[in-house]
Amino acid sequence: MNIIACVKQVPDTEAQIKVKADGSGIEDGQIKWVMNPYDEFGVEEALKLKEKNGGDVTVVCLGPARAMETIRTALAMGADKGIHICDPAFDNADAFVVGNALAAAIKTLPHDIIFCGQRAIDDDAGQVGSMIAEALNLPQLTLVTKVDFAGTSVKVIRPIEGAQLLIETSLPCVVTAQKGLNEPRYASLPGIMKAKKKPVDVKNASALGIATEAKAKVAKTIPPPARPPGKIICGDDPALKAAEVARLLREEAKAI
Amino acid sequence: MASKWVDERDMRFILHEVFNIQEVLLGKAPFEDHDTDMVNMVIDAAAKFAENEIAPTYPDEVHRKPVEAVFKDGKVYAPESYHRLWKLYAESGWLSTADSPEVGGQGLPEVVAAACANMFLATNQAFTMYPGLSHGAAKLVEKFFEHPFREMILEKMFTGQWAGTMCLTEPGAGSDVGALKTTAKKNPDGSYLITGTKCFISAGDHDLTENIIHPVLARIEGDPPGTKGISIFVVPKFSIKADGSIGALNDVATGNIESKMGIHGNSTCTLNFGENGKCVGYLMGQEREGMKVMFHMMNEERQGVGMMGVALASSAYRHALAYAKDRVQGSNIMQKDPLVTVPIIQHPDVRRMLLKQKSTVEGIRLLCMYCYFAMDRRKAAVNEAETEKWQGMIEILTPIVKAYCTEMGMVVNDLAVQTYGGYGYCREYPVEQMMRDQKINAIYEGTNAIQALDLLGRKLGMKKGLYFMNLITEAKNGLAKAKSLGILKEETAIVDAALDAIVTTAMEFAGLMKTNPYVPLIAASDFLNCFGDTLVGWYHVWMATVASEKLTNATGQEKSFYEGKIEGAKFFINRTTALVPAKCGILKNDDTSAMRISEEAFGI
Repeated sequence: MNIIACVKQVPDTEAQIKVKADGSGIEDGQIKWVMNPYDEFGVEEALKLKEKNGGDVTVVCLGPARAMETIRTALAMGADKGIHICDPAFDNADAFVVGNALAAAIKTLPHDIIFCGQRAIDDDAGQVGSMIAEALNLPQLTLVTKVDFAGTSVKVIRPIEGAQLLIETSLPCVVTAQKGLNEPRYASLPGIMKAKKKPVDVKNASALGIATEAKAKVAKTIPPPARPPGKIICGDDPALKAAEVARLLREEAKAI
Repeated sequence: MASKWVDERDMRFILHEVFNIQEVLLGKAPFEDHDTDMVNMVIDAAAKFAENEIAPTYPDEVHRKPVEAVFKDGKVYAPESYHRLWKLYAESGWLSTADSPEVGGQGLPEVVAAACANMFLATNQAFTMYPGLSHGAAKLVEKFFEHPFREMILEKMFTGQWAGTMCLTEPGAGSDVGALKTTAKKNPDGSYLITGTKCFISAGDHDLTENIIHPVLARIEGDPPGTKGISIFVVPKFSIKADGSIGALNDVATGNIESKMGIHGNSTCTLNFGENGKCVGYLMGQEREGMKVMFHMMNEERQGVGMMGVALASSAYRHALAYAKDRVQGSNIMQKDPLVTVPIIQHPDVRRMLLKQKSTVEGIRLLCMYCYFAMDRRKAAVNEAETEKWQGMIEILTPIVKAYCTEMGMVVNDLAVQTYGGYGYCREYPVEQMMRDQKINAIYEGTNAIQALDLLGRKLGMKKGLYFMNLITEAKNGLAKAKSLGILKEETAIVDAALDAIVTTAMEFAGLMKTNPYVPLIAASDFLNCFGDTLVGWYHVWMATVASEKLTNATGQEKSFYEGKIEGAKFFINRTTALVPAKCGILKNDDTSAMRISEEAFGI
């Protein structure tokens, strides 16, 4: 079975994000970078499928040089090889460009099932999985919490409000992973050692032969408004203080 | 702040910026297969595992119910949450991080394994002791056991299917190991029948694994008394059949487990060997070489306990720091507006407590890590002189690492509780438990007093003082570098003077041991701590030297990190290392009041 897992490198959720002064993006020098958690579910599911049915897992990642760490992490978890799409031409890529680039790389490989996270936690766009499916003209199963592989087809579960959908499709197909699909394994020490020796193919835009012009551009990155300072109500009389809190909640916060 | 539990940034600083392992170790035998990326992935994986999996199991009380090892119907049960942890720990390969590929290990440098251990211990010492002791016991089997079962036992232990312990202490033989009463009687097939009782055996019995290997000290019948007559045996909890499968209970019974001040999750057992005369053990090493063999494990455990001292201090400090930034109380003393209340980190005395914690934690962490670095330097040595130099470094550092890191660790734990105020004394916050857990580290693996005697009586005089002077020379070389760069001029001079005071005092003590031994014997523990204060002064100069160089191009959080290193160095050296010459002067005085005072005069 030929399994593909697409991964993106994103800032750690604990990282302190600073927006660049000109609003052109975030300061990325000192951030800790990690594998997008939804992509981790995809990698785990890919590894589970491989363990059950044989075959191999290829991780495909688009990102700058540092994204190699994320590919190595997936290899340390147990993936077999990697493709790193790395080119400054992709610096301002949107989901359309990323989806097409990943699809172009996947096209050159045998592929039965392609896993993506349902979205990346940095830009929250949630489009890349669908873009890949469109570019490759494959069925897409999104926001999946269970995958059952049955030879030539796959059955998945997608939770919806108050119910679940059981969806079936033929292979190859694209599956986007939702929280709850599985519990990603930790990279083991032997896995980390082996990861170094696994092959990673680095490709640039021209090797893939795709356009890099984004259809959508981020015009500006705006930090969330600073939290206004809290207000401390002083006084000795609890009743007066409570009355003041009630007044502020009604008149200033308009919460009641 | 990234984490209240682990300090990953400081680990990377020590490994890459202070020790520069990329230049010094990686890519060279026996670390030729390792590189910086790999090391960073390992550190990252350890931090993630510690924070996400181990830390949630830390509290020894949940909803006012104890989380502890339980003794019931003759069996010991580890806390439920430890079972999953043990499995994950073993599967991830953490039992053999720095071990030889021949036993399934990854052969990483010891400093890397130590950095991982620091993070595991910072998140749950009681749990981490189970794999820690197992590893130590497995190393003994690897080095000294020449039985057909050897390969099988090693595989089981390094993969976490079986566990291990360390059985020295007996009810009548604690610090005085030579007084042990456990006996061994040779069987016709070459095995031995073991009879006796061991107590205070950490991780002595539990249900985490299908079998447990006990290295047991015992005296073969007819062998001389004292430590010279002691041998060491591999005693499995369950018998091992000729084909390697597990048989019946090997007449090893748990008498009880202790109810302790801390580390509740770890079972501290009394083990009865051979109550029915059927407990079989297998000799490790040669007859009457038990102490020599056991010292291999004891040294590893002593260094490990030093790391426990560092780890608990580190997580307590990080908790206290987060609390001090968050807890609003009182107004800023310079702004004098009682209506504007501020986080307590703005108060001078809270800052004093925090900087004392920070500089102590970071100093003892480097001291401890330096000992592991010395092990790697020894492994990577290219000639005998270098091997001996680094072996000597380990010899002299081991008692200091064990005693000083746990002693100062407790100082930090105390200040962490103090930073929280009344809340720190309550079980609602983990610093209370951390302080209780820390206390054992000054006691087990040879009390800190035993370490002080080891330093004074054995280590200082080894090779006529060569090892001691080698360490002093390393420190002096470090200071010379700082001096040539003009970094921390005053502080460097203070550390220099402290080093001289340590050398003079050591020499005077050597003389006094012959003429007035009570003076150095009463002073031994204080002397060890003075030595620690001095070494940590040197380590702070070292860190500040690196930080000063890096500061030039640093921005944002990185800039703060390096500035913190320099301020920490100034604080520690001026307030702690600076006292060493005065303290040494006092220790050399002929004040033997502690011996003159009659036992009755201690209290009637």
